[in-house]
Order: sequence, then structure tokens, then C-alpha cells
Amino acid sequence: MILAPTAKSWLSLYYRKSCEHHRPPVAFLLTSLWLLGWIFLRFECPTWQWVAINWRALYPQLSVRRLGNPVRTVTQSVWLLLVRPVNGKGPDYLAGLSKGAQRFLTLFKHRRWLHHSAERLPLKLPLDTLKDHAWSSLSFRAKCILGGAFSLIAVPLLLLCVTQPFEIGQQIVFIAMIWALAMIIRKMPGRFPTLTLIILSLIVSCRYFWWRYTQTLNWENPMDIVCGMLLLLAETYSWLVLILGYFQTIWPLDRKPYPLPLNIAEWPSVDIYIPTYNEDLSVVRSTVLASLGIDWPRDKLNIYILDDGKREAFRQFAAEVGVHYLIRSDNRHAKAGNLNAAMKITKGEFLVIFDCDHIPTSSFLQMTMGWFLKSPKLGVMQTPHHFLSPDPFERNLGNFRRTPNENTLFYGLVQNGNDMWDATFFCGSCAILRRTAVESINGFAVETVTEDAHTSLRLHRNGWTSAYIRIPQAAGLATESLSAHIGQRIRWARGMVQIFRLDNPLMGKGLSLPQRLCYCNAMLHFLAGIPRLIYLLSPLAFLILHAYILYAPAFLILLFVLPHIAHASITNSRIQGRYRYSFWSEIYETVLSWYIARPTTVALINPHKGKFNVTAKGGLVEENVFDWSISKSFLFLAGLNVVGLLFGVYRYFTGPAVEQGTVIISMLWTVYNLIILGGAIAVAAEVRQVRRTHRVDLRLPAAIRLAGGHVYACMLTDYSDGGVGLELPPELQLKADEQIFLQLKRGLEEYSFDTRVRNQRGRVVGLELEPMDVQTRINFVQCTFARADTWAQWQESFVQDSPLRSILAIIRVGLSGYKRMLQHSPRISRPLIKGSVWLVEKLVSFIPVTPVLQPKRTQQQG
Amino acid sequence: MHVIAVQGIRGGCGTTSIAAGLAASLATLQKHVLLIDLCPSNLLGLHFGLSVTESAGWAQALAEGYPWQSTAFLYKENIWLLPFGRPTSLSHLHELAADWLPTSLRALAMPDDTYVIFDVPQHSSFREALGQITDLQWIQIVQADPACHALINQQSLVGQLNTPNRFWLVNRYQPAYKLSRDLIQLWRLVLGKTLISTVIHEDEAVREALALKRPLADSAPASLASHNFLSLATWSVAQAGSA
Repeated sequence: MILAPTAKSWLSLYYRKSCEHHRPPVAFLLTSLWLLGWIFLRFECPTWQWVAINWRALYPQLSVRRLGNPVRTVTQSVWLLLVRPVNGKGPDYLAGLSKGAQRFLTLFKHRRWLHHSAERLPLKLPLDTLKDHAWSSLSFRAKCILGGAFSLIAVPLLLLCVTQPFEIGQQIVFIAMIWALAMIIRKMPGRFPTLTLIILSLIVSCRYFWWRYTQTLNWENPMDIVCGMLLLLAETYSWLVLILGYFQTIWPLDRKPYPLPLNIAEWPSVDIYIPTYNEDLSVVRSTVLASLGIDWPRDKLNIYILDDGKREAFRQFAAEVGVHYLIRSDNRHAKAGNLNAAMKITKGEFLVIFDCDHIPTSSFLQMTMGWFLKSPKLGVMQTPHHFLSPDPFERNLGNFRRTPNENTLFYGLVQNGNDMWDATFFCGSCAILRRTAVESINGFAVETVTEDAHTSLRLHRNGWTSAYIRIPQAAGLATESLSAHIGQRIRWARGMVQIFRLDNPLMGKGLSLPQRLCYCNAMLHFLAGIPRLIYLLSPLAFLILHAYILYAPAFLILLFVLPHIAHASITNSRIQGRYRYSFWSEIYETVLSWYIARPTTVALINPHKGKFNVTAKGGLVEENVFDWSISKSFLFLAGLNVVGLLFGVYRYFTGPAVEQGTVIISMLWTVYNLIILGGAIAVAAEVRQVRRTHRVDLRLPAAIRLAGGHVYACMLTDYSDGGVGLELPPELQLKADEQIFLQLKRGLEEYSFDTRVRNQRGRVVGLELEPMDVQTRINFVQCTFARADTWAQWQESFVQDSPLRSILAIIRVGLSGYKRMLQHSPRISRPLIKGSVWLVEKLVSFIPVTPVLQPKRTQQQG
Repeated sequence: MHVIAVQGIRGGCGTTSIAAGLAASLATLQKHVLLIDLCPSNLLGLHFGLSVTESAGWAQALAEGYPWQSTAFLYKENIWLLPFGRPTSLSHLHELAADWLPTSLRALAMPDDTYVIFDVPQHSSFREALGQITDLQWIQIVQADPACHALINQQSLVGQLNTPNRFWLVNRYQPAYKLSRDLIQLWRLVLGKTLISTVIHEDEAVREALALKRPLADSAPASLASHNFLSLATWSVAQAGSA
């Protein structure tokens, strides 16, 4: 033949090798392609060699042999030309491409240029350095005049922006300009760009609502107007919450601890209250022991277990460890009554309240008390609630410590923002109150089921101030099951709505306007149930009932809705990015919506109805169950949406051509709803939890000492009240029931604990703690539950959100919900559902992925 | 060249084991180490597999007048060991050493990041000779027991605690003993930053290492003491970097 002998032998080798895996015709085809590749491409150059070495990482979806791999190869290759691998350390393999491809790629590089240059700008924008500027030197009068003059120009312009009707072309230009402006300032650091983004978002949203109210309601048809009005009201509610949210979090205060006086005699006396009702002693024990370890003069610190359950075991435990034990004759007014009863007996100048499952660190009082001594009008100081265990959402979605949870937004940002307006709420636990302040409002509020928020509202009304320190000083257990979690939220929602009715923050004396708005937003937040349900059902009103809920051409709807949503998303993503990822709150809200809709409505109508229900913690989910009772409602909603989709298909093909755009939009909306509902269904699938005492997963360095005197460094992987899990060094074998001394560190101090081996599986061993005396138990709690590292981890927080990445994660979660549902579905329907999931998964596998390369150096590069 | 002198505050603190352990851990960090035994009991070599019958050493060389360089041993790739040896007579040795030590150290052609570690016995006649070496860092070995506490107190009474370039290292720490825990807490106040935050834990593996005549880093790398030595070595490197 025409080939050189070596090439010929290579070729036959290649052909024989491919014959092992494929049929002869395929092998022949492959060999020809391989030969063709060698003729036209320089496979021997380092770039191609690099691709050959890293092909597994570059084409991860090809790891499984399945139908359609050639198509996947093509899509992935195109994708690879457009993106760089994450952590890519490889050579510039693009250099091996043709000039044309390179020119094509530079287009994409330029798209990034804008962002990079924005990050490079040495920005110190006016508002950040306001103090040094002329504005602060002006008199109050001058400020008023100047501000008034600016407003006189700005407000009419703003009104014009909002109300001016545009033609379609003009509207396109308008939103394009605003979007371009937002894109430019989005990556700039500082608060001024944030404010600008907020203003842009407000303009676009106000404009949308102006248009909605004036032009999109069809008054001709009663069905249209009812459905349309419902949707519009729901949207208006969201708009209000959006604006109040911007206001609330516009300027987080980030208060730092204030130092205590050096003279310890000046430090005030403190009572620690640990109210409990029906929780297990194992839950309360750690909290009490950790409280005993708090750094504060012994004679000025009194710890009280307030036991409404009146249990003998608790009394004995209190006597054993040397803390006070209080009970009362009745159980009126639940927790608030319990606290009020205790206040009549104890004498401390300050009250610290820990829910029985919030374990304080030893520095709790050191970090917080300084502010009380500095400012005599400070009535309440709140610290974050940090959870050692995943809440039901995180457990069922499997995203613990990877995606911020509900709490992170509230304690990371909202409370911090509230502090700016002196509107921090008391959250019932991990907080300090001044006795004289609480006495001045006649004790903790008992009228509602959320005594905490109501108490702080009253404190604010009476002129006391509040403070928030965003340093977790206590860690607790999250609620165990979804039903308990929902129960807790129902109580909060009902309580907040009760306050809204009985002691409305917008009315009455003593509050500043920002305080009123912050409280108002907190209460409105819990009314989200009904609007959320409306969103889930709205597209169906058109698809099934054929009601014109949004009476406008499809294209125009997109022109108004999309900018409104997009601007709100990027603005919120910038403000909340490290505390909440975009769209996740949709899932949280959807899960709650069905359940809080009724109680909040009832409370809105009759605030005196409803009783206090305790949040059960430290509980157990008995087996791996799919919680049908909770997910039923979501399945029902999902079913409706599927029906809506089918109607959509029908309408698309049979309806008038003008409606086709609207049908498509409605169907997209339905698909989005289905994804969110899938997320809700994923949450409803509970995961088994078998242990009695709660186990906390935290990796800490530790050491074990064997009876023979050998000591090994190892890694603590989890701990609980009664034992720990360890990862041993390789090849260390322990005998069952062997006595082991566990050495744990807390800062520089180190303690030793007696344990016995319970089980060993590979390198992982479970140790059970032997009975300990009180001081050793305090030490153990200090080394584990109450250690400072837990909050250090918290402070690291999460990476900045990216809305696009977030939506992909949501889609994944949504699909997983349906998949999990199938695993628990009745047998008959399985093949059908399985088939559709298989189809979706197949389709998804064709989507190219950005490869992640190991930073490890390959031989070719070295 | 970074020079470290390891000395116990009293006898039996495990100074020689610390010198050997630190050297081996520095070697695992890819540093060059020169170990010089200043202790007449001549035990340092045992930690690196020298025979008990081996009598050659720098002191013997000085006393008997043959080149001391010939007594150096190389362990693995980067630990040089200069044993004390068994000289026939110890008289005049400290006078000879006062001259020999600083000059020969200066004359050594070692790589820049070489660590020279002296194993110094408690009442050493070579303190004077060591005093002539510039930038010498002392690591004083203590055990968390009342005797060492009393000795630290004595030093504090005569105002010797604040000697520059001197650090304290706790050896054979056993966290199960309350007295040990309390003493360390107290020392942290008294000694401040000069108390090295890494401690060497009581660990049977250290004694076994000597029995096996292999450094701890080789004989029991998974042991806690070995990890302690590694962080001590890291601390030394950081100190050398900041000096």
C-alpha cells in the first residue's frame, strides 16, 4: 500500500484493537476515521497529546457506553471550543486550532472583557467615602434644601420613566439600555453600585406594574377579571415585599463586639434561662453543660432550667450538675408564661435565653455584654441561630453546608440589615434582654404565639433599642422532620399575623418609620402562602379555563415581565448572594405555602383563634419513608400542572394563531412551576435517622491513646452526646470493647476522655463514652458542641451566587423530586413514569458539560 | 544555616529524643540537618542506628588529635550526624571545644537551609562555646510536672526568663493529668509566646523508636508524637524564615 511499514503495522494494530470492542464494520469505520485524522491533523503535537491524555476529563459523559455517544462527542467538542475547563492547567490547546476558530473564540473573550475591567477599576465611589466629603459638613437646613432640590428634579423624571407609554420598539430600546447599565455596574464593588442596581430594578418593576394596572386587565369578562385581579394582587404583594426587602437590607451594619470593662466588679449579674417542655434530657443536657462553661464570674452567673414538663429526671440532673431548677403551678401562656414566672423569682440584671437545644459557646457573654454596658437604653441583643444538623430541607435535598438555608438569609443579612434601622427582632433564643426593659413592658408578651417578636416590638415602642451581632455564639439542632418544621413555621406565621392584627407595627406610638417598615416586612413575609399558590395555578387559568389573566400580546408580556424578573434577580443576587442562592426560596416558599395559607388567613380574620404548639426537636424519623401526607398537596398541584401542559398542547394546535405565543409562555411558566413543585416533592421525601442522640458531622483533629501507651493522631468525623466517630490511620485495628482514651482539643487546651470501642468498619471506628463526672462532661461539651470552630466555619459562608448556576441546580433538584417519587409510587404506574424519566435523563445527557480538570501535572507537561 | 540548641531544664526530660525527632522531621520537610551530640553519654547516634560499640566522635577526635570530619555519619540523604564519641579523657575538652565549635561551624560548606541541631546536656561545659555562635536558638525542654515548674520559677526569680531567642517546649504531655493541664495553662501566662504551642505527647512509640534504633518519623509515622514533631519542625522552619 501507500503507507510506510511502521504506519502500516500501527494501523493494523489499531484495527485489531477496535475489533475487540466493536463489530468489524464499525471497527473499519473507526480505523478509517483515525487514519483520516492523522492525515489532516497533527496528532503528534503537544496540544493533541494533551487532549488524548485528558479525554476522560474533557468528555465525562462518554464514560458510559450508550446509544448516541457520537452526538454527545460532537456537542461536547463544540462546547469545549467555547469554554475553558475549570481549574484548567493544560496548555493553551486552543492554539492548536485553526485561525478561523480562534477568531471566532475571541468574540467570547471580549464578552468577558467588560466584567474584568469593571473589577479592575480602583473604585471608591462617593457614597462609601461620604463622611470625608462636603455633604457631611453641611448644616441640616442646607441638606434639606439640597435634598429637596434634587428630589424636585429626580422624582418627576422617575415618574416619567414609570408612566410614559412606549411603542414596542421604544420599549425594547428602553429596557436594553437599562439592562446594559445594570450589566456594567453589576460587577463593581461597593455600595453605590448596589444602590444604583436597586434604583434600576425599582424603575423597571414600577413600570411593569403601571403597565399591568393600566393596560392588562380585561374588564369585559368576569372570569378574566377575577383571575387577572387575583394574579395582579399576588404580584403586587411580591412587589411590596421586594421593595421592603431592598429597604431592609440596604445597609447591613456588621456590628462588632464592644469590649467589657477591665474591672470585673463592674460586670453585671446574668441569669441564663433554659425553658423546656417535652424535650428529651439528652437534648437539654448539652445546653446546660455548655452554659456551665460560659466565661463569666461564677458568683454573677445563675443557670435556671425552667421545666414546664415538671420531670423528676430533670430535677435530679439539675441538682447533680449544680444549676437551679424552676417549675410553676400552671402552664399558662406556654414559653412566655414560663419566662415571666421565672422573672418573678430570679434577680439577675440581665436575662439570657437559650432554647433547650441551643448550645452556647463559652465566649457568649464576652462577645455580647459590652454593648449593654456601653448603652444603657439597649434592651435586647440577638445573636444568630446556627444549626449543627441539617434542617429537613437540607437533609432531604442533600445540600447541607453547600447551599445557604432559610436561616442563612435571615441571620446573615436580614437581621444585620434590621440592626441598621434599630429594628432587630428578638428571636426567642440566643438572646440577652435587660431585666428593667422587660419589666417596663410587663414581661414577655403573652397575647400571641410568637412571644419573641411581639416582645421586641413592645420594647421598641417603649423606646428601648436593639442590637444584633452576626457572630454565632450558640449552635443548635434543626427540627427533625418536615412535618415538625412545617409546624414550627405555621406557628411563626400565625403568630406574626396575629401581631399584625392585634398590635400593628404601622399604627401605634413609639416606632420610627424604618422600624415600622422592617416589622411590616417580617409579617408580610409570612403571608406568602396564598400568593404562591396563585402563581402555581395562574398559567392553568389560561391553559385550562381559557381566562385572559394577562390581557396583552405575548411579545409585549415578555418585554415587560422578563426585565422585571431579571432585574429583581440580579439585584437580589448581588445583595443576598452569599446568604441565599437565587430561586431556592421558591422551593422553600412552595413547600410552606400550602400549609401556612390557611392558618395565616384564619389568623388574619380572627387573631385570637389558634393555640401554641411546641416545636419538637431531637426527634426521630423511624424509617426511610416517603411522607405522602405532606407531599400529597404538591403531587396534586403537579398533576394539575401536567394537565395544564396537555391542554396547552391541545390549544397550540387547535386554537387561533394569535394565541400561540401566549400558549407557549404559559406552558413555559407551567414547566417552571413543575420544576419547583418537583423540588417540593424532593423535600417531602424523608430520610431515615436512626440514632437516639443527635449526631453532628464535623471533622476535627483528634488523637486516641491505647491502653498500651501508643497514641495515634486521627480525625474526628462526628460526635454526639454519647459517643464519637473517628477515622483511624490506615492499618490500625482496634479490638471490640477495647478501652481507648480520646484526646480532644479546645483551642490550646487538651482533654482526655475514657471511651470504649463499639464498632470498626474499615478505617472508621465508633467510640462510646464511658460515664464521666460533671467537670469532664462540661469539658467534652466544650471540646465538641460548644467549640469556636463551628462558627468559624459559618463565617466562611458561601461563594457568591450566580443566578444561572442556581437555576440549573434547581432543575436538577426538581427532577430528582419526581425520580424519588417514582421509587415510592404504586407498582402499576411505574413503567410509564420510569419511561418518561429515562427519556428526560437521556435528553439531559446530551447537554455538554464544562470539564473539571485535576490540577495534577501530567507527564507531557513536565 | 540555622542553629538550634536543645537542652532540658532538668535531666531526663527526653532532650536527646527531641533532638533526634526534630532532625528526622526536618528531613521529611526536605531540609538538610546536621546533628551534633554535645552529651558525653553519646546516645544520639543510637537513634539513627549507630552501634553501641561505635566509639568515634568529634570529642574523641579532638582529644586524640585526628580529623573530626572523619567521624561524621550520614543517615539517609540529608541528616548528618556528629556523635560525641568516647574520648579517653574529658579534661581540657571544653577549652578545646570553645575554639573548635564556632570556627569549624563557620568553615562548614553546607547548603543555606541547613539546620544545625545541638543536643546539649543539662550542666554542659560547652555553654560558653555555644555562646559564641550568633543567632543561636535555644529550645528548653520541660515536662509538665512540679519539678520543672519549680525550676522555671527559680529562673524567673533571678530574672532569667526573658533571655532572647529562647523557647520552651513541653515533652511527654499527658492530657489526662489535671496537674499537667493546669501547669501548661499557667506557663502560657508566665512564658507567653516563648512557650511553643506545639507539645510533644507522651507516646510509647517514642521509646520504641529508640529500641528499634530508627528515628520516630521512620518507625511510627502514624503516631501522634510523630505528628507533633512534624509541627515542631514546621514551627522551626517558620522561625528560621522570620529570623
